[in-house]
Amino acid sequence: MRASSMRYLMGNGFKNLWHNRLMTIASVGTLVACLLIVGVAVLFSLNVDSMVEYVGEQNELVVFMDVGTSDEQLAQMESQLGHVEGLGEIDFVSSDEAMQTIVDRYLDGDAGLLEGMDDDFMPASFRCQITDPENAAALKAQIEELDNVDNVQAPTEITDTLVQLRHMINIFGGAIIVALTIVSLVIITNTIRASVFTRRKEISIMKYVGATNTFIRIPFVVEGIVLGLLSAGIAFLLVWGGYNIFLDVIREESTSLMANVINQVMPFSQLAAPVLGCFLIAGISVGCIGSVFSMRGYLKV
Amino acid sequence: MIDLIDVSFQYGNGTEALHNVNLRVNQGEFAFVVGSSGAGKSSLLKLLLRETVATSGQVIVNGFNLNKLKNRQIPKFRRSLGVVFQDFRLIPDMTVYENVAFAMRVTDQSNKAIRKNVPEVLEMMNLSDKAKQHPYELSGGEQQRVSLARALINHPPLIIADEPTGNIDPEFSYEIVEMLEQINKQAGTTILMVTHEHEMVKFFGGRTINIEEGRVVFDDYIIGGANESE
Ligand SMILES: Nc1ncnc2c1ncn2[C@@H]1O[C@H](COP(=O)(O)OP(=O)(O)OP(=O)(O)O)[C@@H](O)[C@H]1O
Ligand SMILES: [Mg+2]
Repeated sequence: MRASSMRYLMGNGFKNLWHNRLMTIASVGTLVACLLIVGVAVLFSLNVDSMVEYVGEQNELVVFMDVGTSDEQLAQMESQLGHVEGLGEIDFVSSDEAMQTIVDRYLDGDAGLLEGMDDDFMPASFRCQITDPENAAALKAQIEELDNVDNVQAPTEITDTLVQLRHMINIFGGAIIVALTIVSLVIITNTIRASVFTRRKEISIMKYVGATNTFIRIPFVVEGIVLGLLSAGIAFLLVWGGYNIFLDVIREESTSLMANVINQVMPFSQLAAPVLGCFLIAGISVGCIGSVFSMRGYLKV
Repeated sequence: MIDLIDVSFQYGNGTEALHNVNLRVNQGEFAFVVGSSGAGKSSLLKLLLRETVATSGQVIVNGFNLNKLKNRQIPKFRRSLGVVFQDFRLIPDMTVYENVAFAMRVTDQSNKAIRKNVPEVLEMMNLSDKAKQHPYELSGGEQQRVSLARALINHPPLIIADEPTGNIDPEFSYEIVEMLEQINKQAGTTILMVTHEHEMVKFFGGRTINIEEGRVVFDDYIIGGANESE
């Protein structure tokens, strides 16, 4: 195809948009709204992910060993834990250290009260970080099976809640995205169908003079893509502004207790690329598919 | 050029519009197609334009076997002929120049070729001074000349016209047919023109194909009245 033809056909696409400008504005408005909802869902889900990760980092399993486990067995345990997948850093707390902690924390440093008790009254333990909190329960079960392990403590409830929240967000988010994709497709298809209808006479003449289907389609595909791009751009700017306002508000309102969690809220700079990418891909593909749908029945003759 | 062998055509609802039609129109011929309303004239043209495919028999136009033509070859086939309709089919928001140029634009031709060919063909159709006007500013005869100019722009070897004078005052009707004859004589373009204005056929004479109830009932040369009066 000649460059001049391409320019001509693209120009026609823009003319369609301008010609049906009320439809254009209405459909861009609707698409922006859809993208905003999707955008909020995606941002929310990314942030929950980041929080789950953060909580996970705070998460540790504490493996209490049987009282009287020998140093040799402890060393063996340490190396065994080192091979368990899904564990991060491992800290060993010896029986003496545990005792010392109790003395320091609860007995004001006065070890006299504990006189006469066995040296290894407190069990030795391993504090293991968990890389993925979703594995906490499984890891706990796995490690409890190992030799000389008395019990394993894991804050599985908090993680469970967060993990469930994440699952729910993913399911809801997915459903919202599917629903809004359908809505957007219907909107774009109708808008372009209006253009196709306005130009049906031209299309039929094009068929008679031997224009290819590609030639007939291009203006409408251009129309769809421009609608998609325009909506993606506007929605991106709105999400950007809205997100930053939201950040300012929660930073001001937050108590120190919440500060740690709020620090986990991602800055927009980190989210800009994926959000823009999603919007553009969504906009362009909905535009293309919509234009193809809207041509159905008009390419015959 | 046009070759129909034992062609029958039935619409989806069962109406048989053409029955066992055999017809051959050679390169450079000018033929009228006449017949009463509902005889099957438009149906014949639909077959020739590959809007529909014959139910049985073979349709060959400009060397294309239309029974076997694949969908993606249709554009190439259509570029080998020009079509003129009773209702002109001009695009109202385009000027005369743009309407004619449109046929070149949408078939991927260069701006240079467009700038050269469009004024030429407008000149040929005596439309040069109307180039910037819109169809609604023109008479029926002028509009049909624009439509003819568009059909001619790619110099097709065949022009198919479905009642091109049907919407035009009689005085201008003759002018259109004269132009078609002139194109036929000068460029050797084959012309197939459907009409039901018997007076006009008698006036111009020439090969006349009469279709009735889907059959060719007459196909011969008749002597024009214009020649008689001379
Ligand atoms: N789309 C269609 N579907 C079904 N039947 C049709 C269709 N178009 C035409 N017919 C029928 O086919 C027959 C031939 O019609 P056609 O349009 O070819 O006639 P025609 O000779 O062009 O008539 P006219 O001079 O009125 O234009 C008629 O009986 C008509 O009713
Ligand atoms: Mg007819």
